Amino acid sequence: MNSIVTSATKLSETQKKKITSALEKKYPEAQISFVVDETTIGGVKITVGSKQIDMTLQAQLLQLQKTLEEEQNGQ
Amino acid sequence: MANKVTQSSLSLLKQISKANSTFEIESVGSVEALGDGIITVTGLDDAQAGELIDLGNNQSGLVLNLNKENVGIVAIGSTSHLKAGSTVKRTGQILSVGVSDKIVGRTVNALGEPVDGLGSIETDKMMLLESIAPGVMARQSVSVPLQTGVKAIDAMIPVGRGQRELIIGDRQTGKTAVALGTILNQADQDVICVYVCVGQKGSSLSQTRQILQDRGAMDYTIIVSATASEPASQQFLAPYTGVAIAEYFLAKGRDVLVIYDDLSKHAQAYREVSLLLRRPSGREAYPGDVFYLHSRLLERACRLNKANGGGSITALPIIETQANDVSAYIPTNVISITDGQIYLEADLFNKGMKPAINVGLSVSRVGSAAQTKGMKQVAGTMKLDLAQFRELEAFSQFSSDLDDKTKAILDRGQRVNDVLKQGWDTPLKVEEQIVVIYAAVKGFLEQVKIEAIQEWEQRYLEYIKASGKEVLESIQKEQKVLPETEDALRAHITTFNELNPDLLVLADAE
Repeated sequence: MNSIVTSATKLSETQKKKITSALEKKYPEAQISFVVDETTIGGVKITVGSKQIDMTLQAQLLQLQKTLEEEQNGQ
Repeated sequence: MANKVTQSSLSLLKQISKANSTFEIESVGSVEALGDGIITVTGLDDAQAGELIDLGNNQSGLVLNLNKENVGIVAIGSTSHLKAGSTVKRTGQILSVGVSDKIVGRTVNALGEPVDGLGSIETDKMMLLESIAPGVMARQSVSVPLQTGVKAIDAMIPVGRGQRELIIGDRQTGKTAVALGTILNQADQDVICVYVCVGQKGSSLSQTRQILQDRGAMDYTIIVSATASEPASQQFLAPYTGVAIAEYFLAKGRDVLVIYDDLSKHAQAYREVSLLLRRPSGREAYPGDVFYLHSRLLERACRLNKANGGGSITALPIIETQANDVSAYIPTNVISITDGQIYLEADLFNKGMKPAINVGLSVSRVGSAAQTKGMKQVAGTMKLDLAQFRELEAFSQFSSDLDDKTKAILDRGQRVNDVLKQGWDTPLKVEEQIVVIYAAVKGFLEQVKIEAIQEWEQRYLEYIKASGKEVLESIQKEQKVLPETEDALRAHITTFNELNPDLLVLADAE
């Protein structure tokens, strides 16, 4: 299964190892590749097949924007 | 000043704290191809048909095709921010529209968002666009009339609350006018009206809205707008949005009238989406499920029984035919789904018969059960009069010599026919219709000049409203014409005719 780990800055080897071992526990056949994407600002985003967990600062800011907009419209 | 700043920053903090900061595993896919509002996505393994997909940038799409390798999504809004490889997410939500009582008087798009520039609409309930129609046990037969205010319809093709009555005809035959006249006539009938505009010109819709506003009809009307400039996906969704809004009021036990203007354009929008999704096409290139498209929509028109609130949704779908061809695919489909049709003809329209209703071809399958007794009393012989008239009319063109009996039938028929003429924006109350039709079918118009019938009607109604109030009140109260009311009415008509000799044929002879 194709897995992509995205981060804003290059991850250190120990960080990579930690993520790899954790991912392999859940998805033994995962082929992991690491990508650097500065627009994510901070944090990591892990995509395995069609499942994704987005823990980047960018995603959190977008979420905040959405919540604030909804609050505005609700009033 | 400083206090104010702290206060606003406090409320901002409160809002920020409401933001969800937990991380959840999401289901994502990546765009493989996109064009013409159709997006093919790989991934999204667990997406469900009919589910909403978050396309990013506050835009969403609707899953219509599920394949092994990919998912076919139709974009509801703009796709300009997407490119091949973009990520899209499942939302786990099914398309729905937020509704509250405040939506009355507003113009919204197919997603329920206001497009009239009057600010956002507070919502208190989300209504599903695709919901299952009420079952057999929740229903009750049609028993209350929906007054259209059009003499020809209320007398001969009566529509009941909860009925589905098709308005069909060529372009420019007054289909929308009949529907609009019906909305205008609901002013004091406690009916909420939903006007769904599908694929119409923006200019026509703005004109329609202006008329409704000027006549005060927007106080009880909601417009769902998907004009020709909106994407096909919104035109396809708009009728379902309309009925979802109607169901909100149905649940409160209200009577609702929904007008779909028109379902031909709706079928065409769905055909466009289906062809772009590469679904197999059938007759006239419409997809195989185009019948179900309309049947599931119109099946949601209903009259609920007391236990379920007793509300109703009446549907007046409109179909535009090409060159009077009612046997084309979509017209035959919708004719077979509905409980009758009002057939408008270009020939009649050009002859000056407005509304251009062909009474012979128009039927109402359930409405007569809902007609008031008073209307039944006077309109009973009307259809026969007209049928005889039409039969003889064609025949009489060949011979100039007619016996007196034929001549009498022709005279009567001509006058009954003329009395059905009516301006679309002048709907009449039931009791007014009854007193006019009574005069026509009982032969009181025989002495009136044919060309003066319209004027006669106008002056006669003014006269009755002024000096025959008790007759109108009695008919309205009793819902029928009592014998003593009938005598009074006869006297009134005779007096009126005597007072207005300029309208009569006799005046010429003397």
